[in-house]
Amino acid sequence: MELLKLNNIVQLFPLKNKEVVVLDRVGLSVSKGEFVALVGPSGCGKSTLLRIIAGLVKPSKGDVIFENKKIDGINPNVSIVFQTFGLLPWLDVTENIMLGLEARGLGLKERLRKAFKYIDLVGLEGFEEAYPRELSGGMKQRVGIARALVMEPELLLMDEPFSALDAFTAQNLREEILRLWSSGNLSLKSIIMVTHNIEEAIYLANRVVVLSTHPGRIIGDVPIPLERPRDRNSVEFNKLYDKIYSMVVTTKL
Amino acid sequence: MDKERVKLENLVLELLVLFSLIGFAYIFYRREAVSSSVIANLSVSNLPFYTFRSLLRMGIAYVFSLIFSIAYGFAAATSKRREAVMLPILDIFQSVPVLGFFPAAIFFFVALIPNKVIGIEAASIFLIFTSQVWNMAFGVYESLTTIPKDLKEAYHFFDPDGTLSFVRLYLPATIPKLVYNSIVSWSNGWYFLVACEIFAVGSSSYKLPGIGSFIMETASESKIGLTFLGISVLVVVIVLLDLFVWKPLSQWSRRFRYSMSPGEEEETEVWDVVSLFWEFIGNIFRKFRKPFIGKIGNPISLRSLTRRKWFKVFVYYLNKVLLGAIIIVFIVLIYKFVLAIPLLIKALKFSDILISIKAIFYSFIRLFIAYLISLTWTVPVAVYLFYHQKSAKIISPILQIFASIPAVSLFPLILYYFIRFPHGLDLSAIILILTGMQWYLLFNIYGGLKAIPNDLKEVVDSIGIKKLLKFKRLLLPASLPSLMTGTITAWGGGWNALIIAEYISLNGKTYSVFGVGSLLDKSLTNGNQGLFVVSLFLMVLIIFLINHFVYRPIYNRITEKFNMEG
Amino acid sequence: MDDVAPLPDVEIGEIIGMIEYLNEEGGRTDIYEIADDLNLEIDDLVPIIKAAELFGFAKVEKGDLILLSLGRDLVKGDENKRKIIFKESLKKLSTFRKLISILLEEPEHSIDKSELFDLLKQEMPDEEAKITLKGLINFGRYAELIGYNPEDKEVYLDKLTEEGTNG
Repeated sequence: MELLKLNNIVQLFPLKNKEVVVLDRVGLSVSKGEFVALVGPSGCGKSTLLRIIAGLVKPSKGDVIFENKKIDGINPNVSIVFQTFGLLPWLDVTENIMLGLEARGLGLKERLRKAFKYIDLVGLEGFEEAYPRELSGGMKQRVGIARALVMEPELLLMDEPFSALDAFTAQNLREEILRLWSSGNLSLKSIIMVTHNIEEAIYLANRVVVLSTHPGRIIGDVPIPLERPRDRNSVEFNKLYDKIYSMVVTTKL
Repeated sequence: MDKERVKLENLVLELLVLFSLIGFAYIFYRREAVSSSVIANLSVSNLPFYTFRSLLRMGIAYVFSLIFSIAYGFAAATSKRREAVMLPILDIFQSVPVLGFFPAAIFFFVALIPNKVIGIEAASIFLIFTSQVWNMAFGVYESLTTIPKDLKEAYHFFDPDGTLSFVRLYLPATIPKLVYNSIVSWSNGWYFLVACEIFAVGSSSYKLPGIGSFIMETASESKIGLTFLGISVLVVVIVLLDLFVWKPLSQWSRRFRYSMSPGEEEETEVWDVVSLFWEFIGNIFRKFRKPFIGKIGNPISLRSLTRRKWFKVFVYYLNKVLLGAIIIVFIVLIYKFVLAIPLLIKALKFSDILISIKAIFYSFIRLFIAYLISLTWTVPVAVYLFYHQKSAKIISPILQIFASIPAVSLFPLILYYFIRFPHGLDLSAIILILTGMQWYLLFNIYGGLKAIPNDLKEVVDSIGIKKLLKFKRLLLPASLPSLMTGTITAWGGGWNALIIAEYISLNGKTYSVFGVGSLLDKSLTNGNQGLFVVSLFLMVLIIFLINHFVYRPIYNRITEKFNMEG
Repeated sequence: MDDVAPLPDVEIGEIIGMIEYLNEEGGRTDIYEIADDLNLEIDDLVPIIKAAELFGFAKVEKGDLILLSLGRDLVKGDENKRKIIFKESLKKLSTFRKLISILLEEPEHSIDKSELFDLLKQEMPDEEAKITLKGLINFGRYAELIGYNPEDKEVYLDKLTEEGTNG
C-alpha cells in the first residue's frame, strides 16, 4: 500500500545571476509500514526534500502525492522532529506538546489527555511542568518527538533527529524510536528520517535511499532486510555499510 | 589588527579633512555670516550655511561625546570600585529627561564665557553633547565588560605591562557598539538640535543660526513652504550622512565583533558610489600628507610613545590629578548643594509640590495615551513587515528616514494644523509626544520578530499554527524582550518630547497645556525658581522610581522567561 | 547533613544509552574500546560509568565494564519499568535518602531550590554542589521521586513517594 509518492520533484534556488538546482527530478514512493532513511553528503538537499514532503517548502516543479491526493500546503497527516528540537522557550513541556492540538481546536481537557498519553509514552513523566531550558538535549528531543506524535500523524518525518546529541543519549533515543515504532501503539504508518550517519540509517531503517549532491538526485535505494535487534558488529551489517558508504563517497567526488 | 588601525586612522583623518575643506570653503564664502550669532535672514540662499552651522555644532558635540564616553566607559569598566560609583550615575543620566536641565546649562555657560556668541554656542553644543553622550558611554562600558575572558587573559600574557592593551584590545572591542550607538546618538542629537538652537531663558531669548532655528522661525512666521524646505534639507543631510558615513562605518565595524547574536547578521550594503567617493577623498588626503611623511617621523605611533618611561610616569600622575579633580568637583558640588538646602527649603512651598505632582500626573496621562497609540499601530505594522519580507525591503528604509526626522522640527507644523480642532492643544501635544516614542517601539519590535530562529518558525508552521494563535504563541512572546526594551526607550524619549510638546511659542503667541513640561517652562519664564526646582526634582524622582520599581523587574522577568536560549 | 555524596554530572539518557550499548556488545567490554568505538574522550566516559556503578547497573572489573542483572532489567523494561528501577536505585543513595527525609520534615513537603543549594554547599565544594543539585532534580523528576516547580523554584516530594514513605 503506497502512502507517499514524490513525482519528479525539482527544487531551484535562485542566486544572484543564476539558479542552482538543489533537487533534480526526485521520484520516491514510500509504502505503509516502511521506515526510510535518506542519506547523503551535506548539501544534497535531503532536508529540503523533507520540508517539501511536509509542505513547509513548495517545490519548484513536481507533485507530492499523499494517499493518492495531491498535497498543497502543510500536510496535516505529517509531523516533523527537528534536529535543533525547536521548543518554544516560554512554554513548559506539556504546553509545548499541546501546541499543535490547540491549532486543531481541541478543548483543554482533550488536549491535556492526549498530551499526558504521549508524555507517558516517551518517558517524560516528572518533567510535565519543566521549561526547555531545564532539560538536557535528550529530554528536549523527547519533547520534540512527543510533540510530533501527539498530532497522531500517519507519516513521521525526522530531520537529523539525533545529531545534536551525545553518543549515548543518541543511542538511547534511537532505541526509544524503535520501541515506539514496533509497539503498535501509534497511528504511525511510516517514518522518513534524514541523516548523514550511515550506521544509524542501517540500524534503524528498512530501506536506505542515497542522494547525490549538486544536484540532489536519488542514486541508490538499498533495502535493509536485517532482523531486529540488529547487531552492528555482524558481517551483513558491515556489508551493507560498505555498500552505502561507497555510494555516498562516490557522489562526493 | 594593525591594518585595521591604519584604516581607522585614515578614516578619521579623511573625515576631518572633508569637514575642514567644506568649512574653509564656507568661511571664505561668507565671512561676515560666520560671526553672527542670531538667525536673521530666512532666505533660501542662507539655508546651506545654516545647515553647515548645525552640522558643525553636531560634529563638535560628537567629538566631545566620543572622548568623554571612551574615557568614562573605560574608567568604569576597568575597576570594580569605580564601577560601583560610575554606573549608577550613568544610569540616572540615561533615564532622566535632559531637556529639563537645559535652562540651568544655558545660565552656566552664558555666565562662564564672557564672549556672548561663544557662550551661547557653547551652551548649545553642551546640550547636544548631553543628548549624545550617555548612550555611547554605556556602549563603551558594555563592550568592555563583555570582552571574552580568555582573550583578556591572552592579552595579559603577551602584554603584562598593559601598554598595548588599550589600543589593541580595549579600543577595538568598543568599536562595533560605539558605531551602533553613535548612530542612535546622532539621531538623538538631531532631535535636540532643533530645540537647542532656539531657546528662551527668562526674558531673553536666543536664536542661533542653524537649520533647526530656520525651521522653527519659518514656521512661526507661517512660511510653511520654507518650513517644509528646511525639513527636506534636514532629511537629505541625515540620509546622506547615513549613506556616506554610518553605513560604511558600520560595515567596517563588523570585523571587530567577537560573536554575533541571531538577527544581527544583516549585511549593511555600501553603495559603490560611496566607496568611490571615499577613495577619491582618500587620494586627495594622501597627496596632502605625502610631503610630510618622513619629516615628522611617525607621530601617531602610540607604541613607541607608551614604551617610554616618562610617558608611564606622566600617565601615573595624570591619573592622580584627574582623580583629584573629580573628587574636588564632587566636594564642591556637594558643598554647593548643602549650602542651597536652606534656600531651597525656604523657597519650598507645599502648594508647589501639589501642583508639580498634579502636573506630572497630567503629563503621565498624555504619555500613556501616546504610548498606547504607538503600540496599536507599531505592532501590526511590525507583524506586517515580518510577514512581507519583500515589501519590508522597500518600506523599512522609508520608515527609517521618517524616524530620522527630528520630531521637534514637526512641532510647529503639527500645531499649525491641529490647533483648530476642539482640544486641539492637547491633541497636538499628544501627537508631538507620539513622534518621540513610536519609532523606538516599531524598530525594536520588528527587530525582535526578525530575530526569531528559523526552526521555531518551521515548527509552528509544521503543526498547523496560523494567524492569531501564531501571534499569541510565537510572535508576541518572541518579541516581548525587545518590546520591553523599546518601551523603556520610548518612555525616555517621551519624557523628553514632553518638555517641548507642552509649551510652544509660535507667532509670538504661547501655546501650552497643563503638565510638568509646561510647568518647567512657565516657572522659568516667571522666575519662579522654587517651583522649577521642585517640579524638576519630582519628575526626575518619579522617572527614576518607575524605572527601578516597574520597568526593571518586568524587564528581568521577561528576559528570564522569554529569551531564546531555551 | 551527614554522608551526603556528590552526584555525577550525567544525564539519564546517557546512562541508559550506555547500558543499552553495553548490552548490545554482549554485556562486557573494555572501557578503552568503548571510548574508541564511539569517539569519546575517557574523561567524558568516566562520569557515566561512575553513575552506572552508583545506580547498580554495571560494574568495573580489570578495565572491563560488566553489565549487572539490574542493568539487564533496565534494557528490557519499558519506560515505566525503567522509572521504577531508577526510583529503587535512587532510594538507596544517601544523598536522596537525606533529601527525602528533609522534605518529609517540611510542613508542605517542599523546599526552596536555593535553600537546598545552600545545604549542599555545606557538604561539598560549590561546583559539585551545583552538579549535585541538578542531579537531584533531574534524576528525581525522571524517577518521579521528587518534583520541581520552575515557577516558584521549589523542590517537592512527589505524591506517590509521599504515600510510599508514609504507608
